[in-house]
Amino acid sequence: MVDADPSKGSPMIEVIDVHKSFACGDETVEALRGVTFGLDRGACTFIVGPSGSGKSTLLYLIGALDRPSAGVIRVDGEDVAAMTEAEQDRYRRSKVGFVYQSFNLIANLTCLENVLLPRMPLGLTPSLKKQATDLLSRMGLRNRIDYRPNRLSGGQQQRVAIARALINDPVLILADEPTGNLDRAGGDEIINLLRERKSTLLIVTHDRRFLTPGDVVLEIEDGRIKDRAGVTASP
Amino acid sequence: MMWAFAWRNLMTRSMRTALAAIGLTIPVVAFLGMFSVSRGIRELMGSTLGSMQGLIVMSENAPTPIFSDLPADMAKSLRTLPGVGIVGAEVWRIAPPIEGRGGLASTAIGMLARSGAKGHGGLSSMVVIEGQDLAEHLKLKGAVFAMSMLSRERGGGRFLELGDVGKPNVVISTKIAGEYPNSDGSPRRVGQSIRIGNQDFAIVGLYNTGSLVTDVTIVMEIGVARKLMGVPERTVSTFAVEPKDPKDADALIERIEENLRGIRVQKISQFNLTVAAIMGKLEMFLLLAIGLAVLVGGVGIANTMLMSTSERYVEFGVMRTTGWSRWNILALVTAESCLLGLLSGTLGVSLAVALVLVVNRFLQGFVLELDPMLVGIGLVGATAIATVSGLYPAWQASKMTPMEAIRHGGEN
Repeated sequence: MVDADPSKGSPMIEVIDVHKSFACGDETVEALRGVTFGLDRGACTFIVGPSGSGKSTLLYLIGALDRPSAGVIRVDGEDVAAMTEAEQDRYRRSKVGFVYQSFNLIANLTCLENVLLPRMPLGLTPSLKKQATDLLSRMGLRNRIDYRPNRLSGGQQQRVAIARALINDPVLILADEPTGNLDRAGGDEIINLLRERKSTLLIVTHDRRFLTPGDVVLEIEDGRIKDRAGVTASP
Repeated sequence: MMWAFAWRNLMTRSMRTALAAIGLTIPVVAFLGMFSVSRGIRELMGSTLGSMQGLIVMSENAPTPIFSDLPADMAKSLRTLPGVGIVGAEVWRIAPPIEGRGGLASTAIGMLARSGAKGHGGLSSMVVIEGQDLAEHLKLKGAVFAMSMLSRERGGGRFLELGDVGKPNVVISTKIAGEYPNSDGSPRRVGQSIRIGNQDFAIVGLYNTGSLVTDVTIVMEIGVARKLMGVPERTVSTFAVEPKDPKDADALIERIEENLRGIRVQKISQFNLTVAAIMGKLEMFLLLAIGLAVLVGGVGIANTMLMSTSERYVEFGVMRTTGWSRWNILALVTAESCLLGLLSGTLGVSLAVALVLVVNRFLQGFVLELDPMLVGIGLVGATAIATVSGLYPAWQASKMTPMEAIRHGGEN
């Protein structure tokens, strides 16, 4: 069990006794079995554990991509599980940025348009376009803004994905194995880019070399928090 | 941006999009083609006949007056029937060559001739002779040609009079006047002559009924027509009958048909109604066929959109994770099918317009009519059908939760 530090005010993320089960044919698979923890605002947290342990499921529940079977998830004071679908849409649009292992860029859109994707349904303004261009420039992609994703390297695509996650200035960034498809140098670069943000960061990874002192590490095994591998963890 | 995104999604698989669009383009072309023909025929008929009162008596099995032969003494029997007002004998025949041209052979050639060729052919350009029993016809209140005379100020001259009996005087339409022009290309005028067969006739009047079907008639006195066409005294083609009371027309038709054998009686206005009824039935039949084609086109679009969306579930899932709502996904996919419909409609309308222009260059005396309203219906119809066809795939794409979309896509 991991508790938030009371001296830092209300926690950014509160997960209380969360269960999640899936129907798999005739069987029910329990992906999460009573997970409880809290994370402070601005914390950089790594979720580690073996494959199938429930890491990604936990990440997606916090991101309101799915609903828990039981339990409470509060993010920035809002009960994510109790939200209506429209509220979840708004929550994802305004408070969360997702980064995936397989980048998940839209092939038909340019880099700039991919970054602007979250704002597309609301209409794009020149200031938004400038903001997206600035973000891509900061990611070192100033001269690639009109490129389609298939003309970019894996590292470049992931940088575009990070820019897309940041366009709404989210309070929470959720990254699911963001370095899984990158080489060592590319992986380091992406983690460093993510760390530069002031947002609360929650990263699912298998690779413990990214852990640095000061990071929070949640180790999950068999749907439970096994250990708070701690604030003092070192690679 | 949403529309541009939708368009790009369509163009990603351009061949599939093109094939789906063609599936709907074909019914659009068929629809526009059919209605352009139909409107052309209606235009050909004009509205003059429809407003005419009076009856026409002709041979039972004759499709038109020119194929009808009746005994001339039938006039006496007709006059004895109660309710019969005026009975005017008529002789109808296909005209012999006019100004050395025309006749059936030239009509056939004319149908194949290109615009600008000298042979004025086409079925509607086939000139016919009508010989009228002037003593009776001049009493008719609803005489088609007499009522359609051009004013004297416009050079219309006059209709035939009793003084024209036995004289080679004719009244022709402005259409014929134009189709058989003077050597300088100007249309024939009142006071000039026109050569019919081997004889010159003086043009005393010009008419214009507005119907391409009736405006092919040269009107002359019945005796002159008999002599020109070799029709014996004992034979006429038809009788124009005017009831004493116009309201009595239907009862009079029954009465005539009951009392006289081998004939059929028709209201003059019915010529238009008959064509309209045939056209109506033909249009219904063709609409059914086009409806089936539209259905197939719509199913093709639905299938294309379904394939397209099922390949993009992950994409939709990613969009949902960035805050796109179900409605946003629904709107995007619907925009794609709408654009596909617009593309089909534009292709169909362009093809139809091109076809009509080409076909009209080859047709004589008959013009395919494609007005802006039809074009609009083709365009809007195709767009609407495609949009409706895309609703199910759009709904399928939108109803998945982001999690399902990502997982489902991962399974593909």
